[in-house]
Amino acid sequence: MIPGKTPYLSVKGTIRSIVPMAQDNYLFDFTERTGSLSGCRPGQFVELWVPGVGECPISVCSGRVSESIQLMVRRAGRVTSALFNMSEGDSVGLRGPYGQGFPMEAFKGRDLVMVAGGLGVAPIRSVWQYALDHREEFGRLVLIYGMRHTNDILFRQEFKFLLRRRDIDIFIAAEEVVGPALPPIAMQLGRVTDLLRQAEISSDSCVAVCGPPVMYKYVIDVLKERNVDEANIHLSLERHMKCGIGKCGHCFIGGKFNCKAGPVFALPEIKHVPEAIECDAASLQGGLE
Amino acid sequence: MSAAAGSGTNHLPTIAVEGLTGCAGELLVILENLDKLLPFVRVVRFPFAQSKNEGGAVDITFVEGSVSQKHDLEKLKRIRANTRWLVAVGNCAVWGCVQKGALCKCKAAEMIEAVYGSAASSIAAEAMDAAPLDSHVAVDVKLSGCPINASQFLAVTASLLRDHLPYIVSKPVCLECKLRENPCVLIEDNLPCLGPVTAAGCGALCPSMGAACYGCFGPCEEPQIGAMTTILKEKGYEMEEVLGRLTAFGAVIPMGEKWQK
Amino acid sequence: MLSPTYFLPKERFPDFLNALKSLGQVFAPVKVSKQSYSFKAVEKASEIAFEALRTILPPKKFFYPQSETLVKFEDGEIKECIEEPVFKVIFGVHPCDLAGLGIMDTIFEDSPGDTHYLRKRRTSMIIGLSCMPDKHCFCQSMGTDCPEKGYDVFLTDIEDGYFIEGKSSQGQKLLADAFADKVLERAREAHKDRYKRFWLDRSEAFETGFKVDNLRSTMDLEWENPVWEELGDRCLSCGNCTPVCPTCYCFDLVDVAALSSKQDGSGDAERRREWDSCQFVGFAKVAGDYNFRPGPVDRLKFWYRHKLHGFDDAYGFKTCVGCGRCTVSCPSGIDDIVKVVNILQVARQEKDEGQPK
Repeated sequence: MIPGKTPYLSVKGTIRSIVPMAQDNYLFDFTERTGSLSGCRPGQFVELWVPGVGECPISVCSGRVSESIQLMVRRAGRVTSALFNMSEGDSVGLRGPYGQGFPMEAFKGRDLVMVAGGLGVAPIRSVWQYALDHREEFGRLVLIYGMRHTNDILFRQEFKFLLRRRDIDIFIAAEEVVGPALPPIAMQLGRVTDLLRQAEISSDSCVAVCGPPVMYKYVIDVLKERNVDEANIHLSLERHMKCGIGKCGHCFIGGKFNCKAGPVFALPEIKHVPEAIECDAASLQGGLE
Repeated sequence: MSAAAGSGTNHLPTIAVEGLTGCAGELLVILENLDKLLPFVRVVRFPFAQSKNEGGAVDITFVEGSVSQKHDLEKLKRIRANTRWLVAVGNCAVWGCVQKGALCKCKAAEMIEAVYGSAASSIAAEAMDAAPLDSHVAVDVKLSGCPINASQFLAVTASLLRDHLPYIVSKPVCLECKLRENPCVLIEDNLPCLGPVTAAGCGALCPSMGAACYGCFGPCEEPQIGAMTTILKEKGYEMEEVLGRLTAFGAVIPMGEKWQK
Repeated sequence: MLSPTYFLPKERFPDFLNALKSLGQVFAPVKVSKQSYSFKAVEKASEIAFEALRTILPPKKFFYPQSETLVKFEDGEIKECIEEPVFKVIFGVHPCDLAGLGIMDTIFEDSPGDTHYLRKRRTSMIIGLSCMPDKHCFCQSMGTDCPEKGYDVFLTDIEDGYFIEGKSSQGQKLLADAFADKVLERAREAHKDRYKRFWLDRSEAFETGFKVDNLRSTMDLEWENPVWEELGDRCLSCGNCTPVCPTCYCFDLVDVAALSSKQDGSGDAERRREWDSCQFVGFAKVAGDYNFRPGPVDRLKFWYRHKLHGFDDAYGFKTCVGCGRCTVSCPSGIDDIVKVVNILQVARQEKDEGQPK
C-alpha cells in the first residue's frame, strides 16, 4: 500500500475580514475554498500556519462553518503576532478540523449549561450558536461567561442581541472594572463560580466548560454543589497541540493525546489523571485567561 | 520594513554589523556568509569589512562583543537609537563571555593592575565591568554562540527580514550530541562535559571530537546546575573547578545563583 | 501452514550478507567506542559487531530521521514534500528493538497515517538477531523478549550457525531465494533442538526485572513517593533518555524561512520536524507561558508514567520494551527503570501489608 497525502499538508485560507474585539483579540474570518473544514463541530480546532513562522492550534468559534471559518485569536506568541500583522486578502495555511468536540448529539433533549472563562468563550460560542440553531432540540440554555477585566469582553455586539432573547439565560461577570466605563451590556463584578451559584441549574443538566486551566477545579466544585452528575460535565483542556494528529506528543495527558481523544473530555475520563485538571495557581504567571 | 529610513536609492532592507569588545569571531561568520544575504539586504555599515560606511537608521543591526569600555556603551546607545531590530550575536553580546566570567574570580581593577602595571590608571578610567548588551539597552533577539552558527544566523535574518521574531529555543547540547549518535564523554570517559546545561547550536562540536563541552554557547533554558555539580563532584572533580567551568563564559548570574542554593 | 525454517552455517554468512546487499543498502551494528555501538552502513561481514546488545540510537532513526521536512511553502503555494526512499536492510535488530518498531508502527499508522514514516518503513527489510541479556536488559519483564512482529526475517544464533525464520512475504522470498542459491540449508531436527535450547537458556539468563502485573496501580498509588523528589533533584533535564528510546516518538515542528526580499511574508519556507524531548523545560508549555510540567521532577515522572503505563488506555500496551538504553545513557544514573520500579513496588507492598485486612 502506498501512503496517500501527508497529514501535515494545510489548505490555503484567505483572510476575508478582521474584526478587533478587545485589545489583542481579533476575530478572523477566512475563506477556504476546498471545503475541507466545513464539517467542523463545536469544540474542535484547526492548525493555523503562517509560513516561515509556525503553526498554532486555534479553536473554531463558530457553530456554522462552511466555506468561511471564523477564528478568534489572541496575540500571544510568534505565530499569532505574525497573523496580527496580516491584512484582509492575505493567506495562511489551515488544516483540520481536529479532535473530539463537545458531544452535541448527547446534549440534545437536555438542559445545557455553557461555562466560559476568558478566551474560552471562543469555543463556547460555537456551542451556543449550534444550540440556538437547533433550539427546539435542547432544554433550558444557560450561558455563563467570566473574564478578568470588564474591557476584555469578546463578542460584545453578539451579546447585545443574545441578551434580548428569552430562550437563553445569560450571566456575564468580570473581576475588575478596567477601561473608560462598563460595557453597555448587563455585567456583574465577580467570578464564573459566583455566576454558577446564581444560575438556575438542574441537576440533570449537561455542562460544557472552557477556560484557563486554573478555573476548572473551582467550576467543578460548584457544579458538584449543584448536584450535577460528573458524567455530564464536559471540559475542553488546553495543551500545546503542535501536530494535531496524535503524533508529536506535546499535548499528551495521562494516557491520551489531547488533540485526538480531546480536547473535550467528560470529567470521569480525566479526573484521576495526574496534571489533567489540577493546576498550580501560583505558577500561573502573566495570566492565561 | 517600509518604516526604515535611509534606504536611499534602492528598496532593500538595510542592515548594519557592529562590534564592541570581542574577538570579532561573529563578524567573521557574518562576513563569510554575506554573499548569501547580499541579494536581499543593503549593508549600510560594517566597519570590519568595508571602508565606506553611512550613518542613519537601519532595519537590523547585528552587534558583537560585550560592553567593557565607556566608548562601547556610547556606541551601543547610538546603535540602539538607529535600528529597528537589535540583534545581540555571539556569547560576548548575549552573556558577556570570558571577560565577564573573569569577574567571578577577581575585580576588574586587579586585572588591569596585573596586566598594565603603571599604565593601569588611564586604562581603568575607560574600563567598565564587562556586561552583555541587555544590561544596558533593550535587545530584540539574542543569538548566542562562540562563534555563532552560520545557519542559525541566516535563519534569524530571514525571520527578521519578514518582520517576525525568530524561533530560538535553547535546548541542551545533549540533544544535538545524541542526534549525531555520539558516545557520551560524560559517561564513558568521565570528562567534565557541560553539554547537559549548555545551549545547543554548535552541533555538539566538542563531544563529537571526544572532548568535553565547555559551555561556550552559554546556558540552555533553565539549566539544572544543582544536578550538574552533584554529578561532576561524584566523578571526582573539585568544586572550584566545576564552578570555574560553569562560569567561565560569563553566565554568572543564572548559573551562580542556582549553584549557591 | 508453517513457513519453512533454514540453517545458515556461520562461514557462509558473507554470502547471506551479499544476498541482503542485492536488495538494498545494508545497515548493521558497528562498534564506535569502547562501549558503544551504532547502526551504520556496512559492506563486509567483518565490520558488523555481532556482539552488540544495544546501539546508541535504536533503529527508529531509519524511518523517523532526526530532522525531516514535511511540507513547504514555495512560490505562494503549499506543497507536500515527497521523498522517494531507498530500500534499506537493517540487520541485527534484537527482540526489544523489534517490539519498539512495532510500537512506532502503531503510532505512525494510527489514522491519519504519517506518510513520511510509512513510506520509509515500507521500503525496508528488518533482519532480527537473537541476543543474550546483560545486567541492564529487562525485556522479559516487559514481555518483549520474544520476537513477535516488526521484522521480516529472524536469526537465532545456535553456535556454529543461525536458525532462520521468515515472517513477512518479502522475508520468506529472501530466504527461498537464498536457499535456491545454496546459501541456506533446510533446518534439521538437531538445529531445531538447539534453537529450542537457546531460547530456554536465554529465558533463564535474565539477571534483572520486576513483576509487571501490578505496575499500573503501583505507579498511580506511588505517585507521591519520596523517591521521585530524589530522582528529580539529580535530573539534568538533558533529554538523553528520549532519543535513545526505541519508542520515543515526540517531535518539535519548526519553520525554516528562506531568505527573501518579499517583505509581505510570502517568501518560501519549510516546515520541518525535529526530535524533541519531554524532558526539556518548554515541552508542555502553552500560550501565555503556563507550563504543565515546570520542574525536572514533573517531567521525569511524566516520562516514567508514559513508559510504564502511558498507552495502556489508548493502545493497550506499555511503551517500555526493556532495552536498558535509558539506564546506560543517563549521566545521572536515574533512569534505572528496574531499580525505581522495585523501590515503588516494595513501598506499595509495605503499605498493603501494614493495612488491616
